Amino acid sequence: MHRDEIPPGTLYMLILRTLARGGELHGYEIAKSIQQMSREVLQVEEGSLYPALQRMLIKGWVKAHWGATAENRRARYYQLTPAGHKQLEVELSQFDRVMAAIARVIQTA
Amino acid sequence: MQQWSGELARRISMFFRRDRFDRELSDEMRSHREIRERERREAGAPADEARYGAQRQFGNELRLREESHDAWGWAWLEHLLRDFRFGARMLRKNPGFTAIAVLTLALGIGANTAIFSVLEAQLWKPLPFPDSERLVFLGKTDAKHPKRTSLLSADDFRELQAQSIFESICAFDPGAYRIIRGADASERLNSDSISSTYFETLRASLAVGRPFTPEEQEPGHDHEVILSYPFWQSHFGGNPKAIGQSLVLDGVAYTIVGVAPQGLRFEFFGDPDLHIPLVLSSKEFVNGENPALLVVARPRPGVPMAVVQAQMDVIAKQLQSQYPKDDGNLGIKVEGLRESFVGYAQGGLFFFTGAAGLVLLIACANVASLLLARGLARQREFAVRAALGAGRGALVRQLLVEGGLLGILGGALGILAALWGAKVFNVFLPEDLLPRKVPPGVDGRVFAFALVISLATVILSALLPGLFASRVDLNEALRGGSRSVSASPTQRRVRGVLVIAEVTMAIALLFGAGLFLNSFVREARAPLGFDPHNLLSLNLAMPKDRYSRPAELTVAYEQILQRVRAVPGVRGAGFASQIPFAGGIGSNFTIVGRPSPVNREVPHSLLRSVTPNYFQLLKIRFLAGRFLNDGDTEHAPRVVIVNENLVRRYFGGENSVGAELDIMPEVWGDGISKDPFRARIVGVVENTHMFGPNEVPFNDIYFPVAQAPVSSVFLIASTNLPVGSVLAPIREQIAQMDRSILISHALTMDERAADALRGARGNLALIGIFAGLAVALVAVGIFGAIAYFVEQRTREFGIRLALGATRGRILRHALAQSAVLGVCGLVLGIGVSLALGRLLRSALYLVPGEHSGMLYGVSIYDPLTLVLGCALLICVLLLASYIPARKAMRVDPLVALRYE
Repeated sequence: MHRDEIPPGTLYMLILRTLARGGELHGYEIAKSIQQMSREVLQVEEGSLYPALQRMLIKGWVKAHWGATAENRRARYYQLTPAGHKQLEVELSQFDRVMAAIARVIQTA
Repeated sequence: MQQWSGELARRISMFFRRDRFDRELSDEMRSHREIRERERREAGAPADEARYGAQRQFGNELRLREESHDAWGWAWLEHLLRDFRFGARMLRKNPGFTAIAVLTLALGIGANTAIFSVLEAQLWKPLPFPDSERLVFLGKTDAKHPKRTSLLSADDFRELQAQSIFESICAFDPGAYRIIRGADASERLNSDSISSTYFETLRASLAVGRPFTPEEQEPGHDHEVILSYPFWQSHFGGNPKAIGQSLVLDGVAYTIVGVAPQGLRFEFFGDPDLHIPLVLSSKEFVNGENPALLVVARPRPGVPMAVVQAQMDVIAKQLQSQYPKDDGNLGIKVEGLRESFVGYAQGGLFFFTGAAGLVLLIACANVASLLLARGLARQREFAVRAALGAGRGALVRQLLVEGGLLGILGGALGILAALWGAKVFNVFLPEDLLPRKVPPGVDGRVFAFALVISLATVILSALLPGLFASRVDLNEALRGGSRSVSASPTQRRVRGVLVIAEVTMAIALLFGAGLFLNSFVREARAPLGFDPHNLLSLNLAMPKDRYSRPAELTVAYEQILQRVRAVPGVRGAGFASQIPFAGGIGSNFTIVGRPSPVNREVPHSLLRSVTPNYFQLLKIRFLAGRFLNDGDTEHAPRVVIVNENLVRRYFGGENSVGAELDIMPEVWGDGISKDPFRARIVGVVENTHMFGPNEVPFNDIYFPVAQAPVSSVFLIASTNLPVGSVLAPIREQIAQMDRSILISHALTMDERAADALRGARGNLALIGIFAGLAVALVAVGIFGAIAYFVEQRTREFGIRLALGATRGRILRHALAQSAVLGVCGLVLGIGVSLALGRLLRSALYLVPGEHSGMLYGVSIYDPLTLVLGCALLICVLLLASYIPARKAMRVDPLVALRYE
C-alpha cells in the first residue's frame, strides 16, 4: 500500500485536529488516529510527532499529564487547550487559503 | 502578551527539569515503539522483525530526542555550561600555561583598574554632598587668557546673590588658621571663612546649632564660630552644650553657634577645624585688586548650564560698566564644581592611563601568542570534534569560553592586584599632591570597569587564536605520524606582528621612563637661586593679642634673634615672612612716574618681609645696588629690594635702582591688612625659585621686616650641626621668652627642597613601574616564543647537526628570526615614541595658568634617552632569546631523530 508523506508544515494542523475531536490521547493513539482517519494514505514518521508535541506544549496549545493505558502502561496523555483550539482555526483557514490558491493556479491552465 | 509570558514561564521551568524530562521522553518513545511492536507481532510478524519494523516506522530516536530537547530552547545554555566544564578541566590539566596566562592578564587588568580607581576618586566621583552634580563654581575670566580663572570680589558676589537663577549661592575663603591658647601650649587650628548660605548651598544640615546669619558677616558682629565635627568631638567631647560657650581665637572671644555635620568634606581644600563668618567688606575682597572669594552656587532645578552662562555674561557686562577698572573683557564663567577643580590634573592622570593601557596591550599580545601556540598543539582534538560534527562556530565558542575562564581568573586576581596597586599609587602620588584629598578605592564603578576590561582582554587575546585554531584541516590533523601540526604562514606572520607590536610599545614606555628620569635629575640638580644647605627653618606664629602693634613685633623679633644666635652651633639667624617652598603672598603695585598698566597688564609681585641678613643666610646673589641694612628702620625712608625678573619685565633691563614703587599689600598671611605705601628700590638680587625649577617665573619684592613686620614669620637659622642638636635649644629659647608663640613646621631647607620634588619623584616611580612591567612582559613573551620555536624545530636541528652543521650556526638560525622582529619593533618603536611625544607635548610641559606639566628641562625628542632605552631593551631581549636558544645548541641528534 502506497503511503504519501504529509506536506511540510501540516503536521501541527493534523495533530491539533486529531486532539480537537475531544478527549485525550497519548502519542501512539494520535499517530494511529491520523493513520486511520486518512484511510492509511498519510504516512507520518511516528517519532516526529514528539518534537511537534513538545513545541505545542511550549506554545501552550496542548497540555499533558501522565496516566495509565488500558494495559497499565505509563503514558503521557495530551489534550487541546483553548489556545490550541484557536490555533487550529488559524491553521485551518490558512490551509484553506493556500489550497484554494493552488487550485486556482492549477485550474486556469 | 500573556501567551508570551506563559511560554517563557514554561521554558524556564523546563530548564530546571531537564534531566527528568529526558528520561520521561525516552520512556514515552519506548512505550510508543513497544505498542507498535506488539501490534506487528499480533499481525503475525516474527519477534525480531516486529521490533525492527517498529523502530523503522518510528524513526531515528536519537535525532528525535535531540530535536525535542532543542525545542525547549536551552541548547545554547547547555553547550555553554559544557564548554565551561571542559575548559576548566583543560586549564587544570595545564597548570603551567594557566598560571602564566592568568598572571599576565592579572598584571594588565590590575594595573589598569588601579589607575582607573585613581581617576574615579580624583576626577569622576561626585562630591559628597546631596545632588552635588548641580553645584557650580563661578570664576572670573579674562578674554586675553581665556583658560585662566580668577576669583571673584565682594561686589561680584553681591550682584550674583541677587540673581533669581540661583536657588542658593555662597562664598568662602579657605586656608587660614587661628591659634587657641591652652594651659601650657598653643594650638594651631585650620579655619575658613564662610558666608551664611554655605551649608544651605551644600545642602548639609548642621549636627547641632545654627548657621551664621547675614548680620554676622559684618565687621564687629562676626565673632561667632561653627566647629567642625571632629573638633567638636575632640575638644568638647561631642557635648551639645558646647553651643553658646566661648572659644578664644587669637586672643579674641568667639561664641560657638553650631557644629558642622559629620563627614562634611570640601575635598579640594584640607579639613578646617573651625568656620568663621566671611566679612564681605574686608579689604581682601575688594574689586580690582586680587579678590579672593570662592563662589559656589546651585542653579534652580531644571535650568540648563547654557542658560546660566548666558545670564552670567549679561551680569559680567553690567559689572564691568559699573566698575571699569581694568581693560580687557572680563567675563564670569560658570563651570561644574567638580570639573572646575580637577580639570588641571586630567592631563597627567590620563598620561598614566595610557601607559597602563600599553602594558595591558602587551599582556594581551603575550596571552594571544600563548593561545596560538596551544591551539596548534590541540589540532588533533579539534579535528576529532569536527569529524564528529562540531561546526566551526562550536569550536570558536569553546575556545572563547576557555579564554573567558582565563579572563575571569585574571580579572579576579587583577582586582586584588588593583587594591594593592592603588595603595602603591597613593604612596608615590599621595592625595595631597592631587586635586581631591581622597585616597583611591575600589567602588562599584571601578569594579564594573574591571569587568569590562577583562571582557576586552578576552576578546583581544582569545578571539584571533580561536579563529585560527578552529580552522581545522581534517586531513592533515588526523593523519598521525608527524608529532604536531606546524603553523600556517598566516599564523607565523600574526605571531611575528605580535612580537613587533610588543617591542614597539615597550620602547615607547622605556623612552617615557627615560625622559622622566632625565627630567627628574635635571630638576633635582637645577640651581634654585639660593643655597638650601645647612639651614633650619621654623614657622613662628606670634599671638595677635600680645603683639598687635608693629613696634611690639619688632622688639620681639630682636629678642628672639639674640637668643637664637646665642645657641651653640647657630652661625646666623634671620626672619622672612615667606621662604622658598612655603608658598607666597603677592599683590599689585605700580611704578611711580609710569602710566599703568605697563605692557597692558597690572604689575604684580610676591612680597616678602625679611631681616637684612636674609640674603646672606640663603646666599642669594646681589646684582645691583646695596643690601638692606639695620639703618632701614621703621622711621627711615621706605626701601625695597627687587629681583631680576621684576627689573627685566617692567624696566626692560635698565637701571631700576632709585625708582619708586607704590605697593598695595592688602593682606599678609596673618590676616592683618596693611596700608599701601611708597618705597624706593635700593637693590636687585637674582631670582629664586618658590616651588622648584619647574614653575612660572615670578617677581619678588623684599621689605625690611622693621618697616613691615608681620605676625607669622619663618625663622631661618644657619648651622653646621645636625638639626636635632639645635632645634630643641632654639625652641627652648623661644619658649623661655614667650610661651605663647606657636612654633611649627620645623624643617631644614634641604628637606623642603626634597619635599618639593615629591611630585616629580612620584611620576618617575610610576612610569618606571610601567616601563619595568612592559619590559618584563616582553622578555617573558620572547622567551616563550623562542622556546616554543626551538621545541618545534628540534627534529630539524637534529638533522642539521647530523649533516654537519656547527652548533653556532644552529644558534644563529634560532635567533635570526627573533632578531629581525626585534629590529622591526625597535625602529617602529622609535617612530611611535617620537610621534607620541609630539602629540603629548602640551600635556607634558608647563603651561602657565593651566597646569604645571611633568617634564622639565629635557627635550621631547631627546636622542640620548632614546638610544639608552633601545640599548636596554636590546640587552634584555638578547638575554631572553639566548637562554632558550642555547637549548637548540645542545640538541642531541640521536635523541632528536629517534622520535617519529
